Amino acid sequence: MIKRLDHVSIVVRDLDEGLKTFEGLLGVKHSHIEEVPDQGIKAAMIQVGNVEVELIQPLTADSGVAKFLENKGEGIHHVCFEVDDVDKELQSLADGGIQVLDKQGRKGLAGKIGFVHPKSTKGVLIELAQKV
Amino acid sequence: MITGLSFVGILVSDIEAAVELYSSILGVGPWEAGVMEMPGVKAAMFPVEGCSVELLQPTVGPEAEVGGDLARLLAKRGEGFCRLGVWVDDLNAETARLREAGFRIVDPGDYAGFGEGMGARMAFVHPKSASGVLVELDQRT
Repeated sequence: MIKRLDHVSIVVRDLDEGLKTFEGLLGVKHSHIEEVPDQGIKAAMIQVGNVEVELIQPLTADSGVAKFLENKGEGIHHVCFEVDDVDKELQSLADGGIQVLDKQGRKGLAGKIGFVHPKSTKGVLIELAQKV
Repeated sequence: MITGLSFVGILVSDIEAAVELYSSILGVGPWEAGVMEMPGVKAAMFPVEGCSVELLQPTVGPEAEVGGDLARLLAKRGEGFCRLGVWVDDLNAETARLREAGFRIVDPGDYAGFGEGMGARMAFVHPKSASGVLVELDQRT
């Protein structure tokens, strides 16, 4: 069961440039920047009301995010929904015939997270996150 | 000022199938109105706390004046994310602020928005000035 939208993630070529753009557009400064080596990204969060806009920049050429950027260019990369129990949600989606990228939750920036394959969701990457 | 996210828009080629899929993923159905016929496009909005999810299917060809941009995007990039809506408290003030800051604003003028009682005045920030993201500015009316 989806509780709320946690964040919308936008891939940019250059995080500093992207921050200048979106801080200017949204009228809010970012709250923090983090590197996530296992996903090959650097991410900055901008709080808008009760959700976040996340900007991500790939750090390595072989990451999924780098490939997305190369194929599609800058733009919305994924949305993240908060759930109570990420393992249960992933299992229930898989049981319903939806292809998931993670069979079980793993550690991510937004908590215990898992991804759903864009092939099953009309071309959009969906992240599910359980707050820990 | 911008007060929150309004919706994230997903472009699809078959909205009826997409509504069924997203009802099951999100665990919630679309607004009562279901699939709404609008100029150049069919749309459905799923209420999600924090930021709604919008599905859009162009109903016109790429050459059409209204909706042609979405048809071209679908032809070029396929299904996927197509825009991000944000709520503003004062559309005129916000478009003036963004123009001043160098953003390219597309302002279609007054627009009778989406659904009963959910009228909105809107303008757009061109994706070329927002890292590839088409941003819709919505003021509740």
